Amino acid sequence: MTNLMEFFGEYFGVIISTFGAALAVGLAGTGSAKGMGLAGQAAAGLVSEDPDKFGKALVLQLLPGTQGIYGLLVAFMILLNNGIVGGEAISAAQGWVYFFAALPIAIAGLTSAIAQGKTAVAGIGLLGKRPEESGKAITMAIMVETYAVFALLISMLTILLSAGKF
Amino acid sequence: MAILRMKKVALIAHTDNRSAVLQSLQDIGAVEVVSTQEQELSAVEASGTLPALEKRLGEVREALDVIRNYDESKTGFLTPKPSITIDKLKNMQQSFELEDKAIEQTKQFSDDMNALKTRRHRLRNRVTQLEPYAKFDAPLESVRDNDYTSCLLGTIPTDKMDAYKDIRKKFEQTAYFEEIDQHKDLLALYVVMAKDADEELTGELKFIGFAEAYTKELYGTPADLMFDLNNEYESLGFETEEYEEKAKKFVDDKLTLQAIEDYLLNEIARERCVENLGQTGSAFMLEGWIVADGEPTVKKAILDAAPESYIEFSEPEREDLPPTAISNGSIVTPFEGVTEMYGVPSSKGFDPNKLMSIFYFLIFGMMMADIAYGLILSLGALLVLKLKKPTGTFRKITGVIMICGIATTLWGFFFGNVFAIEGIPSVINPIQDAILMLVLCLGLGVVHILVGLGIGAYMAIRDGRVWDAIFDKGSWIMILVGGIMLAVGMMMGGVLTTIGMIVALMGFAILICTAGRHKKGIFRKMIGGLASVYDITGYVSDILSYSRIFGMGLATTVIAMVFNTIAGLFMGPWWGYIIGIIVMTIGHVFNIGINTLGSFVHTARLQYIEFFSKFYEGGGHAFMPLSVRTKNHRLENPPQ
Repeated sequence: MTNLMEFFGEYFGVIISTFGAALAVGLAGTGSAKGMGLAGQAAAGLVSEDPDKFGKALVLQLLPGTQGIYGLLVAFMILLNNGIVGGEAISAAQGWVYFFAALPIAIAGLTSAIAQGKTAVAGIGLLGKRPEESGKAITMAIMVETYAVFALLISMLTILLSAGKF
Repeated sequence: MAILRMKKVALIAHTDNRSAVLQSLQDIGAVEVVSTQEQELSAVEASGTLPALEKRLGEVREALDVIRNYDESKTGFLTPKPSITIDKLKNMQQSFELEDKAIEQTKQFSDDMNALKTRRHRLRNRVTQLEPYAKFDAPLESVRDNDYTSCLLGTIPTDKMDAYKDIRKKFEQTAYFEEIDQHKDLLALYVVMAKDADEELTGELKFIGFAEAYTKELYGTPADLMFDLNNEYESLGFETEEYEEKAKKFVDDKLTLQAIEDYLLNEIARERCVENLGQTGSAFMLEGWIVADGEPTVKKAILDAAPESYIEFSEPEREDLPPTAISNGSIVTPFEGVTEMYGVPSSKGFDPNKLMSIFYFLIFGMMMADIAYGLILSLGALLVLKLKKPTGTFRKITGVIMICGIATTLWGFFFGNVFAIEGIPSVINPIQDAILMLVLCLGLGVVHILVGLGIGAYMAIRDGRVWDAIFDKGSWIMILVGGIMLAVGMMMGGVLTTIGMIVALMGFAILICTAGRHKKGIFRKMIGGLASVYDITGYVSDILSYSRIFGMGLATTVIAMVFNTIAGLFMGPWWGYIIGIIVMTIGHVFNIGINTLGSFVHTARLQYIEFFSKFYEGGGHAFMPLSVRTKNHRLENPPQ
């Protein structure tokens, strides 16, 4: 039991920051999967009516997919810095910082991808009725993504700026 | 260049020359025909031509639909559309005979195919109906009533078994029950009963869901019948396949039919214009818009077709809303595609493309920022342009990618980025100098917004509203510039702080005093002025929005790093290098794809929301002259 506690003590930073990385990929990925799933269903419906619109519908389906990628990036940066991929095991304080750094993209990634998926579904509806307005449908979906990009930025900045400080 | 000056054209000519004039105008493609405003003129009577053309177009499209199902010719993404000359297109009428034959044949073919399908479907149904009785070993003609007994062949649902058993028990003495087989959720039954029990038993069975089989005019056992039906079904299948082989020769007619489709579309476009004309006894009147520079061409085209016609060119009146024609140099033209996705600027507005393209170039490049990616994008787009020879919006977007590839390479040098390999010398390293990078992005954003405000001010001054320019745009320019000086001053120290503070406060003062000037009453003016200070949140969020440039830039670099690291894990044995190179290739291709899309739309968003909102006057409609257009072809030597 003591050994376990000692182990946790020594590697606590690595463990908690890896937990953060897991949340970043898992939650943002869940959001993206949900969002792309919603948009994909709508896109399939549209393409069944008009196969020529596949390309434009695919772009709209792809948009909610980026949150998952952002989550992956943040997780990757954490794993690169916390001692799992080479380097030394980090301190507990540094681990907590990385853990909190992962939260913005985990939370905003989850919610914004789903919201963006719904906007993309509406956009695909717009594409069906007025294909010439697809640019506007994409712009509306991109509005939602803004907050995922901000979350990514803060997550990354926290990791980059805090590395080696604690 | 910018938004082109438009002129109105009005033309009166003899009705006999009508089609010649329209044909000539379509050839030069320089006049947008609008509905005539002259009230005294009657509308041109509808001729039978248009419905006939549309009927024919419908037939051609149906034939093409049939052909498309059997067309096995390979057309990849890079295959260009076939080319056609205008003369050839105009002479497509000569091919109508072939077209009639092809239409007739395809129509016959699709009718025959439908008949075959219906027959097969019917056979399938009959087999399905017989399936529950497959184990009934007596010929069906034996299931007939005689003087003393009645027979029943049919099914009951298996979930009614209990009720059935009760019935069976009840009629044990007067009827013979045979359970033939259970098929899915149906139980097939054969019941022979005495005549006097018939009515009651049948009634009770029907009550629990008994469905009688159709045996009339069927001879032989169900198994034999099913065997025959299945054979027939199979042979019909072969027949259908053989018949479909015949369809492949229709594909030869595809190109001709497509050319005829384009021909008909142009004929229809011209006939539609006729509806806009005005008519007197023997003359017609046409009104439309032309680009001012096109006046001599239009005049010559009309006089060639109808030498005795009256033509008048005039400047647009104040209440007119001319269509918007935009002309730019060859480098800026592709960027028109980005603006077109947002909307068409008003013809009295400002063509933002030139300034927009500069910022689009810079921002897109910063988001991708990789020397190699930029080269790949430029060369790839160039390849698409050369091989596919796309037209319209697709051509413009490809052009944007090609030009922005150059920006990507340049910023790649600036940030020291090639496939995210570490240790490349750079001017700024975004990952190490994150704060500097963020300042750079926001700084670019401020410049972008200031230019937008500047355009807004320029437009107001151009329209003679100098005070509006100073009050609405000038005040914000002062606030932003003052704010930046204040920020720089606070970091560096010195006199800049004071100057910045004064400039910004002056801006605020102008804003508070003037923003409510259109409101009625002194009190509302004051409230309006103070409320407009709240717009500062809009400007702050606009500027912060540019931090997405850094976000997207990080995404490009770090995704590349992820794939490099994964590939690096394999590097060791010789086969590891092969896997590693495959992983890296797939990864970087994926990264280029996803980030080109991301950079494209996010850069567009910064233009639409942050930049255009400062000056853009939309609500225009694009100049759509009557011209030769093709759906299935590229036109060779299109008129300029």
